[in-house]
Amino acid sequence: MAFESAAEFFAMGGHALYVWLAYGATWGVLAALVVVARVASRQTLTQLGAQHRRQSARQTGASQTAPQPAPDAAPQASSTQPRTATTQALAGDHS
Amino acid sequence: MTLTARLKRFWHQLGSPRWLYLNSASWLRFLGWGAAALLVCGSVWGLAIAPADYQQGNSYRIMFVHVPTALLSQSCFLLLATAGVVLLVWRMKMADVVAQAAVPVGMAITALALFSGAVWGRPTWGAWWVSDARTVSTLVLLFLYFALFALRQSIPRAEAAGRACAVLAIVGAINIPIIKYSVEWWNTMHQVSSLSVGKRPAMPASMYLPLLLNILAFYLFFAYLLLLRVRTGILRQESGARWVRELVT
Repeated sequence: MAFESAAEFFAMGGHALYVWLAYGATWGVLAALVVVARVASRQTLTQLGAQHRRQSARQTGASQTAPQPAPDAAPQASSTQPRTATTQALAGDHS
Repeated sequence: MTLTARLKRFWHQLGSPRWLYLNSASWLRFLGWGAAALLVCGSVWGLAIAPADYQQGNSYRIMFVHVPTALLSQSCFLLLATAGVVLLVWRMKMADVVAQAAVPVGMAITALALFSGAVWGRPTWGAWWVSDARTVSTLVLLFLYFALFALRQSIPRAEAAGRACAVLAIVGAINIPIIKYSVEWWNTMHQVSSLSVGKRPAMPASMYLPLLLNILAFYLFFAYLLLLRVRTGILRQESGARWVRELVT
């Protein structure tokens, strides 16, 4: 141990300001880098998950509406029917 | 399998985003905990156990974080230049993912090296900033990181942005030997290296051992952070791929 007491340790022989400023900034920036990277990682996973669930919902919705006779008849049909997965997914896209 | 064949296969595997993502989760844990443990040990050793310097007193303890960040700031730029060559020559898309992940980290580390240098300079040289070849060339390094970051943002097509950044990183790497040899080529206020490969250290073991430990800790930390960011980059780049879809849903 280079110091006799805790008070001496924190005083750093009169250089407390400089030593603790340098170490504090270094630890702070390293911690911030890790937090930012972990948040970005988690966000990417949830975003991609939501995006792919929307897409697969649209695909299953499209296969349900595929037997419809003509594409121009679809808006009429959907206005009379309850909201399907497709319309929900599309509404989700625009919101 | 011979060693070269093994290395060659590993190189090809690293180029595969899917392989790297699926295999690197355990490396991430190892690197993260390893870096944390070494950082704690190195900091306690450097701050509390290593003896005070007979001239500088306790302010020299800043060296234990200044030297690792300064070394890392240069290594990170060399990594960017290497990734640039790999991208331009072999068209390996992973190289650009790595470069993109490394730039903000290098920027922060370089800023830290300059900051801790300034904080050490105030009690030792009597000034927060002294312009000499070492400090100015390191400031240029920080500006090169800024330039890489800005260049990436300013080009909308990802592929063109990656190539432009690769060229800038390769050209900018000329600054690295200038930083390294600045203390020998010019009369600098900044002291020469106290620690170099193949030379006896200019300080006792009680001082250079914690420094070596901290250098290792910072490199492990960098590896951890880079891998974490590369994994996120892979998911973003491969967001349309089947394996990503199966992974996230």
